Amino acid sequence: MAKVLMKGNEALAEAAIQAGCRHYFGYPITPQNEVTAYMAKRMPKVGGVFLQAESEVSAINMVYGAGGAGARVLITSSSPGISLMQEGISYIAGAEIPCVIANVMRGGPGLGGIQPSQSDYFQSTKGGGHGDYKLIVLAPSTIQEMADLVQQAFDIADKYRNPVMILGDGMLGQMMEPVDFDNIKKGENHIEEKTWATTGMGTRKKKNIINSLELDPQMLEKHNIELFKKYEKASKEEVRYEMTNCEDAEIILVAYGTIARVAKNVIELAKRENINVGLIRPISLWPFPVEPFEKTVNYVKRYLSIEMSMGQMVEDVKLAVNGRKPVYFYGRAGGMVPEPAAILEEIRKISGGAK
Amino acid sequence: MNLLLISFRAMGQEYAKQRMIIMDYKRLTIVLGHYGTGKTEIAINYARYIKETGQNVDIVDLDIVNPYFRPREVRKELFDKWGIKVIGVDEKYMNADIPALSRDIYSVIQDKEKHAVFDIGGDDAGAIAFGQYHNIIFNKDVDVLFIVNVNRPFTKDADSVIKYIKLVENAARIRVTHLVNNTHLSYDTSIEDVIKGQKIVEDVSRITGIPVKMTTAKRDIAEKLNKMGYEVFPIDLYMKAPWNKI
Repeated sequence: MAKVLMKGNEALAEAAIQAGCRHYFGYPITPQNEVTAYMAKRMPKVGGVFLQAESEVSAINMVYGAGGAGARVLITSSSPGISLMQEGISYIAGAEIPCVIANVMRGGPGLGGIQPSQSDYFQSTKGGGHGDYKLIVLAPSTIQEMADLVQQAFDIADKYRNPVMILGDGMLGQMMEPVDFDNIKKGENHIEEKTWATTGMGTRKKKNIINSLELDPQMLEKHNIELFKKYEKASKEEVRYEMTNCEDAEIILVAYGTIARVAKNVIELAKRENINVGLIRPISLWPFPVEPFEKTVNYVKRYLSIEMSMGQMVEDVKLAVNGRKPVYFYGRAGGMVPEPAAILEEIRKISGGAK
Repeated sequence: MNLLLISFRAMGQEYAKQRMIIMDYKRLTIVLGHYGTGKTEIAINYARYIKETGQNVDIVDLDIVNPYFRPREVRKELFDKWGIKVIGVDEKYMNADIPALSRDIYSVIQDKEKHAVFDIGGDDAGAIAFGQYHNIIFNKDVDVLFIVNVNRPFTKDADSVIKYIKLVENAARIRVTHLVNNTHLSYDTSIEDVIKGQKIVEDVSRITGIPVKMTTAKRDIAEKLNKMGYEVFPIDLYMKAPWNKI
């Protein structure tokens, strides 16, 4: 297959199918409806299951069931819909079920609006549901990267028996770009057979049970500790980031997803004014990449976290920088995407004033 | 190529003077196609072309399936620069996530003094919104353009394009009168893409008997192709990603 032109939402769906996903459950919500529409068309043709549930709550519990039976399963929604799924996501993490959840973010809180936003960073990376659990969160910034990360997300989910979230936004869902599915690396990780899945007794001697209930506090604590061993492994092995123009940068922008693309054009605009601007682009939001900050903190003058939110990732940036250099924030909310000129103006502002 | 009725002059500064236009058009032009074929950009550029020939023209934003990248987003730019009005839901309801249509669409269909280009949402899902005007449009002077981009996953060859034409025709309750090749790959478009699309669109034309109206491409590609002897209608892009708004 040569390059094709696709909406981000379509590429997300196709990449899941190519990663071996044959079970999709969802409920429509703007701006991710093309995933649902694409799956409705394509799943029957590849022998898969497309099911539009009666609600997001129902859909996420279907994911629990299918994932528990060992299927590669995808669910997608946008911000308010993802909020509805939080109970199910917590159960899935507790029961150690692999699955991929994609959030094509829109403005909030509440019903909010339908324009692109990044205001679900906290919900995704700090655990939107109850209990001590982590999602591995991957944030693409191009449609090609969307397709690449969906494949990786399924592999990571199986490797850790944990839900993985693709965190995009309406702009990435709706815009169109060329995608090449041939060059996606498939099955990098060796996936062990899912001996834990509830596929019937067969020749097994012991029952496989999928459950997140544990009434004995000692046993539940043990389970929590086991989960965190897994998260610790993931926090070492699943860190992903990109650095652009960071050598000799006096100011480094920190941005993920859609706004990272704005940042890349800001770097070029700033060059014309002899301001040396770099970019740290976290691709894994959890685990958050600390390494690029260690590499740059000694020589950079300041960091500027730019987000389509009122300031969420900036807290992780501050933890990574740990007081060693000033960290600034610039954001737009409610579905506004800043244009490069606005960010350049912010750079001029903070570069002028000593802090 | 004999069906392509445009030729261009490289001379002249103004857009209108850059080409000698001999392409005919009807009072109403309906732009249909698969998602992502470039319907909105073609609708805007085609309206500009009609305007430049001295006609009063509106763009009807009938897209109820796409939440972003619709003519209503460049409403002001089109009116200020070209005097082209966008007929669509009121500005305050622009982002309302409901399939509402403007009542003004009726006046555009009936007003014999006015030309209009209808930008319809993609696929049969988008085209269905237009179907409701069937009973007042069937006897009007209408061109129905079907835009083809063979780089889209579901319209890669003549057979699948024909399948889509039928699907969209049934939903829109109108017959396609012309085919348009707008094969592209966004910023990665090559002249080979356009030529590949043209061959497939010509095949579709042979099989269905629907004539080809034109081949379109963004301006830089169109200029290259024009130099090579192809006749291509140049498109200026209006639907821009936020990072490209410099």
